[in-house]
Amino acid sequence: MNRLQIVVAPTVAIVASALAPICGAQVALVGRSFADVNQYAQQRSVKIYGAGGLRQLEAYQSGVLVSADGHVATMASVVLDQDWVIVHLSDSRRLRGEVVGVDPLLDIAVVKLDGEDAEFPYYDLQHQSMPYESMQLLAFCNLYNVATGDEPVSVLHGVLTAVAPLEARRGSFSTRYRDEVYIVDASINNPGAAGGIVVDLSGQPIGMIGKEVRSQLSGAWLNYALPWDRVAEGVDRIISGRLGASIDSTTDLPERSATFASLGIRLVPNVVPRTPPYIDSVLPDSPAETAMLEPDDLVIAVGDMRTGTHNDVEQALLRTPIDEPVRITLLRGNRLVDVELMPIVEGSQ
Amino acid sequence: MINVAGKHVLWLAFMWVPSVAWIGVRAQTLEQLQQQAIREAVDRVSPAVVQLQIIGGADRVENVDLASGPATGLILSGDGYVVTSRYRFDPAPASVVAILADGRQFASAIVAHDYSRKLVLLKLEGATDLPAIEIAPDDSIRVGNWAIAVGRTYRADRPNVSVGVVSATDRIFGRALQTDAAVSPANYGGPMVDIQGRVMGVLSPMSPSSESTIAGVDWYDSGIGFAVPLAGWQSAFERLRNGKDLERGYLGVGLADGVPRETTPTVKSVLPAGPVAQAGLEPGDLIVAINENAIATQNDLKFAVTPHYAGDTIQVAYERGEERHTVDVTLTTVAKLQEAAEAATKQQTEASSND
Repeated sequence: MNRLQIVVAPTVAIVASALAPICGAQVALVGRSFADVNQYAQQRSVKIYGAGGLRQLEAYQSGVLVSADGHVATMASVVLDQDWVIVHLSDSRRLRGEVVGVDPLLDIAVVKLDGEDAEFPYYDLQHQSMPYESMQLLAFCNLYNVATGDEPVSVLHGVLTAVAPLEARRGSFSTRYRDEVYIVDASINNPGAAGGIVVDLSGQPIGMIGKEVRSQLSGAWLNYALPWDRVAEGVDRIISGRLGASIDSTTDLPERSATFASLGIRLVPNVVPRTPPYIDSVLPDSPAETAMLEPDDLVIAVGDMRTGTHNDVEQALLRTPIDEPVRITLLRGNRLVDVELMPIVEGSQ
Repeated sequence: MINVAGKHVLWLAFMWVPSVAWIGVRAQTLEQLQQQAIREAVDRVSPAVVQLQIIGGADRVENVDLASGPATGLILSGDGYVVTSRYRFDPAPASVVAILADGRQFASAIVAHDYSRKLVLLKLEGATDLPAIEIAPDDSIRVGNWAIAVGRTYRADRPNVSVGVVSATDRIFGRALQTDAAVSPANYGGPMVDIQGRVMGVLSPMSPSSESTIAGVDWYDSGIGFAVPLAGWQSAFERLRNGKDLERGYLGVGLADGVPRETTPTVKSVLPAGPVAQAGLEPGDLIVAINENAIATQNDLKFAVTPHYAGDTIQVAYERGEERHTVDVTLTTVAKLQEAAEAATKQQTEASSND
């Protein structure tokens, strides 16, 4: 597909879906049959293979292309717990993908395909939709990895059940997102489905399939998608670098590095691999207390360095001079909070 | 109206079959009409679908975690009678508050239980002018028809919807409709409506192998859902409204050994003082009809009797040798059957110890 088609296809679809309520017949005339929609969605759907396999955690999930340059949006998960993943495209290509970043607010991740000068078909992140209960939907994902080899991902049909806050039962999965999601009645709460896409009958994006969680209200497994505009926000935060880049281990270390003690924070003990960097306590009369840090704040970036684990924070502090203000980005409940702390150098006061 | 429009489009399309373009138009147009019809069906029933805030009750029954959020109920009458599933009512919660789509809130009281169909009737205190529903006539419900399941669990102001078809009628021994629409704690107690928004039944967990309140809950994501049909349930509603609990009715008869679907309903034993014993049936009698509907197997008998409640009187025709007899039998509850069986055993023990 050339660039013209890439631009035209979403435009036609947007016009078509806008016209749909007024003049249904025209939609058929612009040729959005199911076969067209399926092809359109399959070209933008990918299968991601990465880490996992231990403790019955699957090593595969779904994703969708969101830029011509090869950015793939997906859900953050253990599958992405390595430097690169293998991404299968609908045209049989298998490309390496680098994990660009993770948005801890939405648990969305972006993977950048290693495609040199390739141009990829993609879903328009700017697409707006107005879903309503009973609206018919299609979901594209690789649930249970049934699409093996070069097979296209599975298509499921359903309706929008409700637009409601995600009230997931705690302990099932660590999702902090509590805003509205699209609950659907298709069985998309299955291994491998996360990161797939839910589209309307004209093929335009409605949302991204979320992780497996149980509803706090009904106790049942919840089939849901994160609204597409939220996905777009998350992808934007990641690509723009607001959440920090990965730590460059080749940089020179400063003469004296900032420490937990110099900031006045203690993290939750680093007892398991990939312990999330939650603040356990804030020392009295410390820079952290002055900046009103709180226990349970999650440290997601130090300076420009992304911190997904306790170890990452240690590494980031090692690369942060003690005699300069330290900018820290925290996730507090549903909000991102930026603070600046001036470390106290021992013996200086 | 939608249906009529749909038929016209279909008719037009057939008239123009040679034109490929027309087939495309027909497909899209029908799809959109269908979507519009589903949406209107939901809008039509939605005002009568209420959210039930459940205060107290159980977290766990028979090792199954129950939902903890709000349940759904369906308004049956303008003066405040609401039916819901018994799923969250065993044991009964301390209090139930109903929230209507328009925001009105009412305290409610349990009026009576239908243990056979796993429903409970509530009365909203002081409610008047509540929205009405239309019940789909029995003969309009066909396998393959649209089935739209509506609940009000996730939000009080909006319904939650899942869509499928009627998968079967007369399931659970004549007490339930089956659907592939997603039926779960998020819509138990809500209505299953047809494409015109008419109520076919009340969604409830069901199982052919157990009468337990929560039996069938584990099928919530399996493509198997059930709804208790409301057509024909009017007399039960009247009895419940008068505060009378309803239970499944039993004959008090033991049948000959064999595979139920292949074996004739020949009486092997009758429970002393039980319903059929009082009507004069004896071991060796062959039951041949219930309410003038012929039956051939033990399965037929179960299907014919199970939909009736304890206290209902049914007509039983049986053959004894060459003679055919017809008697009225008043069904009883499983508890009374057990009492009678225990009394009979006790009597037998006393008799044998006196020997």
